[in-house]
Amino acid sequence: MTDVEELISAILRGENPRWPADGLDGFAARFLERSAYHGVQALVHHHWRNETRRADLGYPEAVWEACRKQALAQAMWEMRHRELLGRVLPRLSEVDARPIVFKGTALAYDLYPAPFLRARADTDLLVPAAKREPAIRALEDCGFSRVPNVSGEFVTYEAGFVWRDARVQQAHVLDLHWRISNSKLLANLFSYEDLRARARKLPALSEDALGVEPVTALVLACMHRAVHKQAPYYVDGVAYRSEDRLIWLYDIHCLLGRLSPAQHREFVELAERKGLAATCQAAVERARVLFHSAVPENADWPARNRSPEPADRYLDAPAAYQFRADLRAIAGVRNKLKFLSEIFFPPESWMRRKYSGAKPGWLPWLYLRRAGEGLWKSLRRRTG
Amino acid sequence: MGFTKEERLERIGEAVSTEVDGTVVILQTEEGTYYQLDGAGKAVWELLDEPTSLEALVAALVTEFEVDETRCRADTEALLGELLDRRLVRPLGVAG
Repeated sequence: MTDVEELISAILRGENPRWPADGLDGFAARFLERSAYHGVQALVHHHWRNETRRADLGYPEAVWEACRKQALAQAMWEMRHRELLGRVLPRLSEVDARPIVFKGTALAYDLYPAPFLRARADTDLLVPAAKREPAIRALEDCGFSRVPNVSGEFVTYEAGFVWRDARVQQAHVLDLHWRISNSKLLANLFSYEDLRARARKLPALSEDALGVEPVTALVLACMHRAVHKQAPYYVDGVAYRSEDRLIWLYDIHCLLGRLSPAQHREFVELAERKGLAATCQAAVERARVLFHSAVPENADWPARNRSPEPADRYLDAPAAYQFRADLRAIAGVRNKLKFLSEIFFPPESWMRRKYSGAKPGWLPWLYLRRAGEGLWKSLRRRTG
Repeated sequence: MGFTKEERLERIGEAVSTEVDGTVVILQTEEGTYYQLDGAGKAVWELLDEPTSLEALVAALVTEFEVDETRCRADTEALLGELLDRRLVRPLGVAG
């Protein structure tokens, strides 16, 4: 961890670290770059509200002002996003696809002093698999446009939708999921029905909103963080693969602070049962190091002398292993072949968009190029 | 759009707001426009959470900010006129 990230973590812990005496413009620039990457500028601003203390500690006004502007931008985005969700959630319930809000937005409205403090690009909604089509139509009825993506029975379990406000250059994205993960191996760990049975209301978001209860939310937060070792995420249009984004660890820190000792025991048991104990333990340890997260006394994880469980192993493995594991997780040869065909031969409309500018007759070559690029990326990640 | 000093006003449902560091940020959801209020403007917005008249606002502001009543009334009236023009508040009539 860099000196900048140590300073950010200390601020988020609620401490009052001094701005380094030798922290000149270069340090300030790195502070802004790293805090933006980690999605925590608005949170930093929230912890810096005391002007007198801020000045005493030597914080540059320009850094404070940049964080303030980001907080305002997030607040503006949040108001519109909440208003849109206020329209979408009842509409989905009307078509019998009452969604469960999970990941960033659910945590924003459940754990944070103000939801805009939890930076995010979208809202994840989980609906019953059988209600996928009516849910898609309902989102389109609400004015959302579908984001072009690969599609098929096995290649993805989600569809993206966007609502744009050109006047203020805002995009509001909803990810509609009918399985909890796009990974075939992870997708079956938690069903909609499992989460719905223990879901709880999110009244701060809307009277129709349902969120995941905190024990499962913590397991999902740990899993989500680990997924991004291999699955890319985007910050300002740049793709990254890493599990150390501070906003995710801060979510885990907040969730840990929410659990009673009994719920913490339940969390450890659930992680063990789902084969995610190593993943969850690593995430909790990282949150403890960074944010001194509260964990009940005697909350030790059971010793593990056996080989890793499939989910833990999957999340710690290179992309090529994950691809093979996903393929194995699909039942039946016919389905496996369908999965491969969906990966290597996405719909023509998607190919045309991805390779816009290519001549119509080039399509076969474009499919070959896509297969070659996929193999190259997979090998690079495997050896990188 | 005008209003009398006894007439009560309230925020309209299409105006949603949040606070960031002493500033109220308001979104007029139908028009997609944003506004910011701070200081006494923020206090006015908070008081308008309940139906309130110009006179009641002035009384509250004079107490809170220890300002000249005549000046406060003129500034508050101007702000309310602007909030009405931007469709952030609406008149409710005189309390019965």
